[in-house]
Amino acid sequence: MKHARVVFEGRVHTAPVHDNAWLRLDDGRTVALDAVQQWLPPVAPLANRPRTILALGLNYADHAKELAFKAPDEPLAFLKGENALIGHKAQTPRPPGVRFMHYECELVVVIGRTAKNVKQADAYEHIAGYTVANDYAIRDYLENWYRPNLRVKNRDACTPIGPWIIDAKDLPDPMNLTLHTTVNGKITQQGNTRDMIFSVSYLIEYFSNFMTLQPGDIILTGTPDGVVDCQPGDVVVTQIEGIGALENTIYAAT
Amino acid sequence: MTQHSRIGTVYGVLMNTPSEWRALELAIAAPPYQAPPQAPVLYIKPANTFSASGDPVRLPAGVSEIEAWVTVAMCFSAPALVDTDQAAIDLIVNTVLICDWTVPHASYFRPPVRTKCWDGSLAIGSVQGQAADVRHTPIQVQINGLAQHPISLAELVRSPAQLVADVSAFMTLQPGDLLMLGSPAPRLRLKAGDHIRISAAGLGEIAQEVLA
Repeated sequence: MKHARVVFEGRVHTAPVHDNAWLRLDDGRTVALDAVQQWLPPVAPLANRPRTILALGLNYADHAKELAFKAPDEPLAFLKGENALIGHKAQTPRPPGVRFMHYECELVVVIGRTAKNVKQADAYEHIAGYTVANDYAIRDYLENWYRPNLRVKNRDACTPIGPWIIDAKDLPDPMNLTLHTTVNGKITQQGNTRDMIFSVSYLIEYFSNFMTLQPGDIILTGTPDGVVDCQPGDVVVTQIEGIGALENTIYAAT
Repeated sequence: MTQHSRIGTVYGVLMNTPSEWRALELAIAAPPYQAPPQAPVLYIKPANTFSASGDPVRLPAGVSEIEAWVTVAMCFSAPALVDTDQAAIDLIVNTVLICDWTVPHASYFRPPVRTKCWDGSLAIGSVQGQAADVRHTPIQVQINGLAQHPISLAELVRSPAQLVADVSAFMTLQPGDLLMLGSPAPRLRLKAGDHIRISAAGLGEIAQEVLA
C-alpha cells in the first residue's frame, strides 16, 4: 500500500493511493491524483520531538567520482531540519545570482520501529516504508567548514519528498531499483540503488550503533551520477522504480 | 525545556567566538579549509541527543575523553526571520543553558555524525532566561567540585541578532527551535567518572556525570 498526505478542500487527509490513479480520503471519498490540491511531505508530523533527518553524501561510487572524491570508508552523513521538507508538486526557490543549483534523486528510508544497536541482518524489521526525495544543493554556497554546510543543504523548501510512502512489505528489495531524474522531460540522471557504497541495511546498523532512531525518522540514502544546473521554470521529476515520481518546479527567489 | 511546547530543531554554531578563530589562526587559510567561513557554520543535534541535568552522559564506544561545549541557546517563541532585529529578539527569544557533548575532532572539515550525535549528548537547561542578559552573564563551571575559568559570551563573532539574521537568510527558525551562540575554545575535556556542573544567574544549572 502507498500512503499520501494531502490537503483537499482545506483539510489534511492521510490517503491510501490506489492503482497509482486515485486516493481514498479520510472521509471515504475518492479523488483522482490530478484533483489533489496540495501534496504534503508524506511523513506524519511528530508530536513530541523533532524528526531526525539523516542524509548521505557521496554514497554512490559514480557520484563520488564525479565530484573528484575518493569513495569514503565510513558513511559521510549530515542532518537536516524539517524546514527543508516540502511535498510533491511544490515549488523550490532558486536564490538570485547563483550559478549552480542541482537536484539529487534519493531513496528515502522511513523508520518504523525504534532502532538501537540493530544488526544489519535485522535492519529491515525496523523500516516502515520508502519514499523519494530530491535533495537540492546550491553549490555556490559550499564552504569547507562542517561540510556540507547548512546554507547549501538546509534551506527552506529545498528538499521535496514524496509523493507517498510505500509500505516496506510491498518493496521487498530496495537495493535493486532504478532511479532517474528528468528536467523538463529530458533524462539527466540515471542510476540503480544496487550501486550504493553503503546499503540501506548497513546504514541502519551504522547509525543505530550510536544513535537511537525512532519511528518517523528518515534517512536519505544519497544520489548517483548526473547532476546538472536547474533554472527557474524548470520542472524536475525525480523517480524511483516501484515507488513513484516526485515532481518539483523551480522559481526565482527575490 | 518548556511545559507548553516541544523542542524543535536544535542548531549549534562553530566559529562564533573569537577564541575559536585565534585557536585556528594558522589553519584557516590552509587546506582543507582554504578560506575563513563566510556564512554561520551550523550543525544539528537530533532528538536522540536530548538530555537534562542529572542525566549521565556516556562515553561513546572507543572514546576515552569528551569535550563539554558549554554555551547558551536562544529558543524562539515565534518564527525568526531575516529582518528580526535585537529589540524583536528580546521579545521572542528566551535562553537556556547548554552542555553540548562532543567527541574531540581536530578537523572541522567533515567530521562524522557520530562525533556530535550519540544518544544523550546534549544537556538542555530547564530554566529560561532573558536574551538581553547573555552578554553580561558568565557561565560558572565546576569539574569534580573545582571551579574552572568562567565561560563568557560577552564577545561573539556574530551577536545574537546578527546570528539570527544570517541564519534566517536561508532557513526559518521556527517556534521551539534552539540556536546556540557558540562555545569558546579550548573546550574542557572530561573522562569517565568526572562530574561537571555549569550554572549561570537566571538560567539555573546543569549537573552531569560522565560514565563509561
